[in-house]
Amino acid sequence: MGAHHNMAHDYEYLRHTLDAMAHRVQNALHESLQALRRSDAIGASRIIRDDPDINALQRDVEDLVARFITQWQPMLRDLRRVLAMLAVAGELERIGDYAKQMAGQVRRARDANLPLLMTSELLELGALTEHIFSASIAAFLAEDVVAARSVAALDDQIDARRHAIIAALRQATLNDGSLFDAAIASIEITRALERVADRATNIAERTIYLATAAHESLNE
Amino acid sequence: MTVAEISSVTTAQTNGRYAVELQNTHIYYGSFRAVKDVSLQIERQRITAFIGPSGCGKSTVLRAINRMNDLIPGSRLEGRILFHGKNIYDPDVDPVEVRRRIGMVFQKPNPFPKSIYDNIMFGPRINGWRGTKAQADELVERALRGAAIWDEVKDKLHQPGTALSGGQQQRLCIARALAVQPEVILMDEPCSALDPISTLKIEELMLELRRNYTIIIVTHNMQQASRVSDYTAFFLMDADRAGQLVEYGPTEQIFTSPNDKRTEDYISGRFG
Repeated sequence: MGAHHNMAHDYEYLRHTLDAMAHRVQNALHESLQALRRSDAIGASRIIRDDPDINALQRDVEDLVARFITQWQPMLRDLRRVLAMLAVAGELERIGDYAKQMAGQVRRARDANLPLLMTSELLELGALTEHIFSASIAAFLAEDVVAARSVAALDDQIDARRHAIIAALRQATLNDGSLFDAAIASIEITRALERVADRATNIAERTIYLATAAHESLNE
Repeated sequence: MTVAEISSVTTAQTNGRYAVELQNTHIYYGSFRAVKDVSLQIERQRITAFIGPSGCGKSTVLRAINRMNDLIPGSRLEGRILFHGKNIYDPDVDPVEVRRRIGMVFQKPNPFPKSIYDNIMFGPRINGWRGTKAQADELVERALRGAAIWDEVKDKLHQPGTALSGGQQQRLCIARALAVQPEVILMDEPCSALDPISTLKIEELMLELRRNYTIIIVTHNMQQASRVSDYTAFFLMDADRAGQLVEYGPTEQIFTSPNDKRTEDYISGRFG
């Protein structure tokens, strides 16, 4: 009983570290969209500057998982839980990179005095992406399989909106070739947001595996 | 009729798949029921692990499979344990012959205070060995090779078995069990007194022995059960303090998605 209590305590610390990492990534994603909204090069630079902190948190999670497995030799759901945390930390690190990539696009556009196209549509796509990310992290931390499965529907919406934006940008560049560079920047942002949603879906899949021991693909 | 005499005719009855079958087995020590209604089929040439907390009856069930409990005054068994389709508790079955066909390795290595050679020949001799010296030498070598210890002891066969390291002593005990050509080997926590390297050697040996023998192991080490066994049986004490079988199935399933919550809680370390 006592030993298991200590294991629960160590697990809580690990969970707390992952939760802190998720908050940092959520913040980076939100701030990159704010930088896009305001065409804010300084805000974009801050996101790029702070990305190593997210990477450091991923290494902390890795160290804690390795120590947890060594000390407690977890089995079954306890083992799946910490393995899922390791995988989710990897997904979060990549989502942080996508936030950094979007900030890079905003900063480059600003430096080149290039107007970003379809900003309001990009921000709507961004809001949906933030929602899917928050939903998947909440489902994971609550180990809620039903909530995790609902993430798949949101991912489909994101794909549909992205395709609509790309079609509109394509038409705009066909009408006016001078918009090409600006259209590419906006497409890169849609790509980053779509990748964030994919990573969020992966987190939802990890939630299902941790809770049920069954692999379920939500991306099909 | 002995077990040996009936083995060839009854293999067909068990379809050759199961080495041992327990049918509604209850085991008593005096008036105390230690094990309640266990039914279990042990697959041939596979490793089956018995797991469960202390006092859940797993060692009692193991010892019942070669009638070792007969040596405990007041012990009694109801139900049947079939070996080649024959109930080994039938009155016409010789328990000594059962123990020759179903050998046992104990928790603590227990070599006799004799030479390595004599340790191996002990079983054949009490079973009326009539071979030549050359045949005995060959038998000793075969048993020691079978237990993966020949290379380490071939130059000191006439030195005391008790002079070996703990891990070597346990492999000597396995060689001693092999010398009487059993079909089933029962192992009662065979690695609990050994260091990690010796433990891994015993586990490698078990996987080798599985080619020719059926092995049943009692272990408290969940990782060991998941590493070596093909099937796992989980035992637990019920409200009357009698051991019962809770769940039995392929090890992979038991250690990834057990059907019974009690199995999951035990494997996860939530009790026991």
